[in-house]
Amino acid sequence: MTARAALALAALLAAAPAVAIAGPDAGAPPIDGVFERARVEVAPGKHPIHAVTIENALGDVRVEGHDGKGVVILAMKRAPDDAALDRLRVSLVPDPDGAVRIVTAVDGGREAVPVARSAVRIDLVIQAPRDARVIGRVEDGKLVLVNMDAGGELDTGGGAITVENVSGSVTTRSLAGAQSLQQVFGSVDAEALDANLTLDTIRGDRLTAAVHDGRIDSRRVKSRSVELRSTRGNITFDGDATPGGQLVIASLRGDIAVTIRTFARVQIHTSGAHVVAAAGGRPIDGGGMEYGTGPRPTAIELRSRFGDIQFALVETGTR
Amino acid sequence: MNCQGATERLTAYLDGDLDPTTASAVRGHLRSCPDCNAIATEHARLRDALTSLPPVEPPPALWAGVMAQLGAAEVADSRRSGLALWWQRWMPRLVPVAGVAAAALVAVGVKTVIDGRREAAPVAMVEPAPTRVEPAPAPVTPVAPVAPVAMDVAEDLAGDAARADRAYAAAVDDLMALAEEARPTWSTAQAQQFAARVTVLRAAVAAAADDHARARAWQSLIDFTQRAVVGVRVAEAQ
Repeated sequence: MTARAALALAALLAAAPAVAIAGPDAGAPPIDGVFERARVEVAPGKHPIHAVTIENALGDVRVEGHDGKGVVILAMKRAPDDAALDRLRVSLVPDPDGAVRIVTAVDGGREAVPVARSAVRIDLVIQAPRDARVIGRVEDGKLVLVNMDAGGELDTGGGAITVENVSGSVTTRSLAGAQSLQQVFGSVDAEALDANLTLDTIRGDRLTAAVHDGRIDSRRVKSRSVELRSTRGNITFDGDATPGGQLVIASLRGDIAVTIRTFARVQIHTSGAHVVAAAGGRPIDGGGMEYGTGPRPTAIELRSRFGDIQFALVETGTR
Repeated sequence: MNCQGATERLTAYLDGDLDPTTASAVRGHLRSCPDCNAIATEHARLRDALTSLPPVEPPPALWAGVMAQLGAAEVADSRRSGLALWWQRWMPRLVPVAGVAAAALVAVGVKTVIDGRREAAPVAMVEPAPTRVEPAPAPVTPVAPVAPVAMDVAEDLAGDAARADRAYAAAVDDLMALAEEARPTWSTAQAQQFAARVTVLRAAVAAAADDHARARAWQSLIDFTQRAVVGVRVAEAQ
C-alpha cells in the first residue's frame, strides 16, 4: 500500500461520515452530544498482515480474529459537540511489510475550546487475520482480544484486559485494570499493580502471573512452568502437574490454596504461617514432602510469610 | 518603570487601554524583567481562557425569581399610605438638592474661617494626598454553576505517563519498605547483591528512552523486588 493510500485512509477514518454498522461497544458509558461512526478496511499488500498495533488512550479496543486477509476497523467517536468531535483523530498507518498501526489522538491548540477527557470517547473494534500478532495499549478503556492465533501484548492503565480463545504467547500488563484470561493456548506473562487476575483454562509451556496488591485466581491450568506471585493478595490454583515441571506460588500476606491434579510424582516444599497439606506424603530431604510415583517429579514451592497455605492433591489415575 | 508600576498597569496594558507612551514603557519593562514577563504571560493565558469560555445563559428560574420579587415589591407599595408613597417618589429628587445646600453652607463656613486665618498668618499650599477611587462593586448576578473544564483532554492525555510513573514508584517504595523487613533473614552477601541489583534497575528506569521503555524498566524493578519480598528464588535472583 502506498503512502498516498495510507494518508487517504487515515483522512477517511478521521472524517468520514457515519455508515451503518454496529456500535463498537454497547457497554460504553453514554456521552450526550454527537457521535460519528466509520468503517475502514485495509487490504494486505505484497505481504500478508502479520501484526496489528493499536494505541487508544480515549476508549475501548476490541480485537477479534476473523478468516479474512485484511483488517477491518470500526471506529466510533463521541463528543459533546461538533467542534470537539472534529478534534478526535484515528490514524491508520499500514506498512508494506505487513504491519498495521492504528493510533488515536486529540488535536490540541490554544484556539480549541477545552473539553474534559471524560466527555469524549473513541471506541475501536478491529477484525484482524487470526495469525496476526496484536499489540494493544489503552488507558482506562477496556482491552479485549478474542479468537486470535498469534498471541499478543496488551497494556492498560486502569482499563480491564480480557483475553479469550487465543493461541500463542500472551503478555498482559495493567496498573489498576483487572485481567481475565480464558482459553489461552500458549505461554502467559501477566502482571498488574493493583488489580485482580483471573486465569481459566491456560495451556502453555509457561505461566507467570504477578500482582502487587490483588488476588490471583487460576483454574484448569496446565503448564510446565508456573509462577504465581502476589505481595498482599490471596492466590488460588487448580491445575495439573506435569512431569518435570515446576510450580511456584508465593505471597507475602495472602493465603494460598492449591489443588494439584496429577498422575505423576510431586515434591512439595511449603513455608507459611499455617500449612494444611494433603495426607499420604513421604518426607524428603530439605523438609519437603513427596507424593505419588514416577521418574520425573514436579517441584512445587508454596510460600506465604504471613498467610495460610492449603495444599490438596487429586490423583487422576490416568496417564 | 519599576516592577510595581508595571504590574499595576498590566491589566490595562493587556486590554489595550494604556496610552502609547505608557504602553511602551510597560512593554519595555516586560522585555527586561523575566518575573513581570511571567506574570504578564500568565495573565494573558488566563484572559484567553476566560474569553474562550462559552457565554453563560442565566437559568429560567433566575428570571422567574426576579419577576416574583418585583411582584412582591409592587404588592408592598399598594399597601403603603399616600404620604409614604409621596416621600418615596420625591426623596430621590430631594437628596441632590439637600446635598447642594449642605455643600454651599460648608463652603461658606470654610471660606469664612480661611479668610479669618489669612489675616493672621500665611497659609501653606498642601497637595492633597493621592487617593484611589475604587469603583463600586458591580452587582453579582447569580447564575447556575457551570462545570469548569479543569484540564483539556489533550493536556490530560499528556499526563498519562507521569501518572503511571507515580503508580510504579509508589509500588516500588512499598516493596522496598517490605524488603527492609525481610532483610534480617538474608545473608550479608544477599543484602549487598540485592542493593546492587536495585541500583542497576533504578538506573535503567532513569535512563529509559521513552515511556514504553520506562514502563518496562519499572516492571523489571518491581518484579525483582517482589521476588525478594515474597521469598521466591532470592538466592537465585541475587
